[in-house]
Amino acid sequence: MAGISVTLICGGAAFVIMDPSLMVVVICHPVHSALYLVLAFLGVAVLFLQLQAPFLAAVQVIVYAGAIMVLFLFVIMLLGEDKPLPGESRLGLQLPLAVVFSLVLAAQIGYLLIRQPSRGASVAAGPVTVIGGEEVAFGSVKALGNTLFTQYLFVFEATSVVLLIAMIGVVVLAKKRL
Amino acid sequence: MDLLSIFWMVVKVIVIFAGVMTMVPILIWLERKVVADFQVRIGPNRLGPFGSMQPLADAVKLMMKEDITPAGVDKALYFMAPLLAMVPALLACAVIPFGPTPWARITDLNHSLLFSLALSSLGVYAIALGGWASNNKYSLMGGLRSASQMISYELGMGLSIIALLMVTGSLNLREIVDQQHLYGWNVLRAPTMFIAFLIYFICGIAETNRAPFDLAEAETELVAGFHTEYSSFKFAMFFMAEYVNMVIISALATTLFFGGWSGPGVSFGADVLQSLARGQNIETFIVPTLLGVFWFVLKTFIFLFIYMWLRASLPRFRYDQLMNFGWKRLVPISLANIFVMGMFVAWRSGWFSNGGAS
Repeated sequence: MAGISVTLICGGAAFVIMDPSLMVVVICHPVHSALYLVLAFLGVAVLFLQLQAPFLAAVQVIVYAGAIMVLFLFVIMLLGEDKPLPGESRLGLQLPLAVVFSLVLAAQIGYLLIRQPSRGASVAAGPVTVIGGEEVAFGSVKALGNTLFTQYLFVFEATSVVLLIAMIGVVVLAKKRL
Repeated sequence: MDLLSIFWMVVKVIVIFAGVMTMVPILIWLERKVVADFQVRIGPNRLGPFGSMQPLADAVKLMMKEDITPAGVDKALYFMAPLLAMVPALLACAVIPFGPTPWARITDLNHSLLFSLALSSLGVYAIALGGWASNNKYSLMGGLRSASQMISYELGMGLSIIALLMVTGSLNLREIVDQQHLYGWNVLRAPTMFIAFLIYFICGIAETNRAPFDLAEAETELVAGFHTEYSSFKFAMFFMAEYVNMVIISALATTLFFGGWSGPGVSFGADVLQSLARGQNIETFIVPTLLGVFWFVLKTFIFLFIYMWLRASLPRFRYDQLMNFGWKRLVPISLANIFVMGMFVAWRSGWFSNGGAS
């Protein structure tokens, strides 16, 4: 019962990701394709939930679907989206590159499918990490925070400094007069 | 999950959703009465006792109106926007613990606070898309204003909640309320918690696009903002979503800072749970549940009254004032608040008393 529902939800989420991702590229209307991208993000959030990572799922929705894509839409709406983009002759070198990379990706997926016999295995049990003698579910806020602020502290802080530099750069570029 | 528990789940969902939806007409009536009192008017007084049937008449009027679809709209999005406003607003009810027992909540997620934040961040789409799809400059301006406003104030809200989380140490709304039942309301648990609450509530008002932050529908500049082109039931959906969002923000304020269902006469949830497990004395958990729900609703209504109070008292912000206030005042204050709260938590767990050893 649980196994079936897990498979069903995973399959559904995969469909919810695949279909809109295709639409993002195929559809010529910028606002619509941005919205399909939001739908794809929501599907990814469901997959995170299935992988026992509720925090990542929530962050996916809050940051990507709730903030970044809204800014995308904002820009698209302000720039005037009425004319559909001319669909062809803009791609140039991208087209053959895209074909090559898709083939590589498909090969990788195929390899994984062949290599891994237990692809129907349920992840319902969920790995567990131990923090201070207390068992904490992998992917919970506690486990994630503990890893970020101990093992990967330097990388974490370095990333935040890089982001800060980007922000300062934007302010300097955008504001003529500070 | 057997059939019986699924049945009870469905019953709970229906009762809680119906309860929240019933709040909408009550609030509309209350708001008209309260604002009328502030302006020394009488307010609605024809239909029913104290005009209490007025929202019903309003609803009938709205549904009888012609459902207009203006020329040149993006049909699919134009229809979808009111639904997008309504659904996240209602979904947030799923995680709020209305009372001490499992009877008064739908789910008990481990990260329910994040869930409600995620839903509130999706509410932006309704307004941005509704404004854009209407094919009207005023609507577009209203939608864009509102989208940027909501994103800016979400930041302040998130930061104020972080200050709270450092004290509670849990993202589970049920656990947060249980703690408050044991140790007292969160606003009183740390010295600067009241600042966190104030920032949360200010941002909540901005998130729901209510006065004095109702720039999305500033009628002096934008006709009616993002819902200029909406009529009939689609307009009613936007309207209801706004009120449901108000209820959710107030309910979360109650849950996070003011003890949720906890109040005089409510025994602790765990005792009730034990007696429920033993399967005895139905009245031992019916009474606390109802009493808890009563306190919860009472506290929520106090915050809803503050909403109306502010609407009647304050003039609307100017757009640049709004952005400055959000980014240059609220965000730095909440960052400072997080720092102070961190110091408090560190002091409480004894970092400063025994030579820095924790």
